[in-house]
Amino acid sequence: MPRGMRRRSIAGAGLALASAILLGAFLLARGPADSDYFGPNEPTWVRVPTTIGDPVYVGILVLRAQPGDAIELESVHVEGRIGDPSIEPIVRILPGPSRILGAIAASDLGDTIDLSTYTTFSTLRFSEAGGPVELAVRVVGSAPLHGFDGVRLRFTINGDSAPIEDWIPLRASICTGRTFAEAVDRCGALVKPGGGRGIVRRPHDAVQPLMGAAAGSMTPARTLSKHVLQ
Amino acid sequence: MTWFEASRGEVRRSAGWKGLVIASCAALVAGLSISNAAAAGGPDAVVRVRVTDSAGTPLAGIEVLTTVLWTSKADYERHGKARGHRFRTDPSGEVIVPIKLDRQQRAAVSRNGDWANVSVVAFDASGQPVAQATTSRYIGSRAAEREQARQMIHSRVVHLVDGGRARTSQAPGVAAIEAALGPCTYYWDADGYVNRYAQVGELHVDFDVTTARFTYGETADTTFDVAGKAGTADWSIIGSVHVGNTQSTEVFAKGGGQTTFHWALRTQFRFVNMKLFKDCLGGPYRAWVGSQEVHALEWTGGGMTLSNTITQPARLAANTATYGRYTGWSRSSALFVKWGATVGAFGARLGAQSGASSNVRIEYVFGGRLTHYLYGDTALPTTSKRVFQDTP
Repeated sequence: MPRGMRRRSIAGAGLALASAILLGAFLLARGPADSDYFGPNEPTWVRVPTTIGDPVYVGILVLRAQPGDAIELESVHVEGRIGDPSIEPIVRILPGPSRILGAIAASDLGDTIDLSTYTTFSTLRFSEAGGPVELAVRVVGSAPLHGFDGVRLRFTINGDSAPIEDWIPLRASICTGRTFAEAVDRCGALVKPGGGRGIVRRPHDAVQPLMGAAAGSMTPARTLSKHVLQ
Repeated sequence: MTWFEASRGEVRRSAGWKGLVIASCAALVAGLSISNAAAAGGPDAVVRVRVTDSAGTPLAGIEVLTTVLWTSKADYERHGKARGHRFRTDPSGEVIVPIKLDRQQRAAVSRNGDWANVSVVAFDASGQPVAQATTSRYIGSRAAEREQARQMIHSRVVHLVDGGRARTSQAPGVAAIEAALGPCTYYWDADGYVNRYAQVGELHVDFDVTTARFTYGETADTTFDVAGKAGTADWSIIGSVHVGNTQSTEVFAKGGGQTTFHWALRTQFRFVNMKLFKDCLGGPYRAWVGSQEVHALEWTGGGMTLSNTITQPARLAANTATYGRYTGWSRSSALFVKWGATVGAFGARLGAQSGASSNVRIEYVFGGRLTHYLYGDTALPTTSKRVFQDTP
């Protein structure tokens, strides 16, 4: 074997060994792997204006067990928190065709959806026959912009000891103001060019607003694409 | 995983020590492969071709021409014809074709979002094409696009059927093939271009919506059918190509402020009419061998139009989410929506499939009424392939 080729082979083997150690350590530290059991879940972003102190309800997902599976939902972790929100997961077994929470302030709910049918989440068991389960969160915060980047579900199937995780990439941005109009303006600013940059500084907010392009005809969007689409 | 990358893939159990062992072995193999590939200069992609007669009997010794197609009109004007390489099927009627891109091809594939579009043609002993197909291979590293490539037609094997050989499945003699094909060069060349609008999405507004926007780009992301034919035969769909080139703009349609707005949306692509030529003498002499194909070449970035109104299905409560005053909702789509037979070019009709990565996005901002609905046809709007709006 030529010397250059031998050197590359040795370097490759060394790289492989290092990769193996790093990858193994990563897998051990990472715990349960992502799944797509309740998905596929598309990257979605909701923006809700509200006055300070008015709770906001954000629908996360309707969970449906696959036929023959008994699901035990162990935990609901809201990740990438922004601002100072108090976030409480809530659930209900859907009684049949029902209105489902999307993103709405409590003051706007009226009699649209009966909040008394929801309960605070704790460990939840359900099956295809016993579901589906609507999962939402109740968010209360006072920061001008608060919310979260997504929700991680941890669950087991049919009593399996190894838990599974689903990542729901649903970002919620809740804008507050002294008046409702101020909150509306704040949410509107998030989707204008460069909007949110003065507010969104945390690492999980490296992604720019999904709709950063200006209104109008065709719009250059390189910066937007690099951040959002990659 | 970045925030806007959809979680995809199968359920995998907790890794633990078993995962470590498997991962270590995989990494070891990968590392050694890297070293070997670096030493040997491995192919950029592989296309597995199987040739049978119409009864499914493998045809051995069949000459197969594979060609990496250019990805833009500028490529054809700059580089001219798309030349291929010839291979011969083994006794099982198969040949595994390594696709090794040269510098110009690599640049063209890179400009197409790392998608290589490859034509495959089988010849009979007289040097006439008897079957053809076109397929795409993704050579980049984005997981979502790799998954998309796996789901495309001809992703595992390109199956060519020599319909005229049902009763005589014997392989032609090598000498006969050499005599017919040996001195000749085969290549695809562009015989004309047309720009056509193809549907890539839809946008629906019922009432009290201040912003409704469907955005496509800046990287195109649409898979088109490829139509092929021989001589005066009818066009038939022979595979697909992926258009992933980048323009300096994104295009969008807006339906905000309108009432009962339900439109199919189209943007413009350039299509090419390709012909397969044979040159047995060298120089300027060439003969069209009868094979022809029409496929999308590139997204022109030339704007988005409302093409036709479409019906919004009735709202199902189970697929409906409720939104309050002035709330906003956006989604970047990674799910497929197949729009059937949407483009006509050079007499062929081609389907387009869009929305396979994060390059299609939908946004709503609602008005001042207390309640607004978004709903899907098959699921909630966060996961449905189609999204509709309704205000009570």
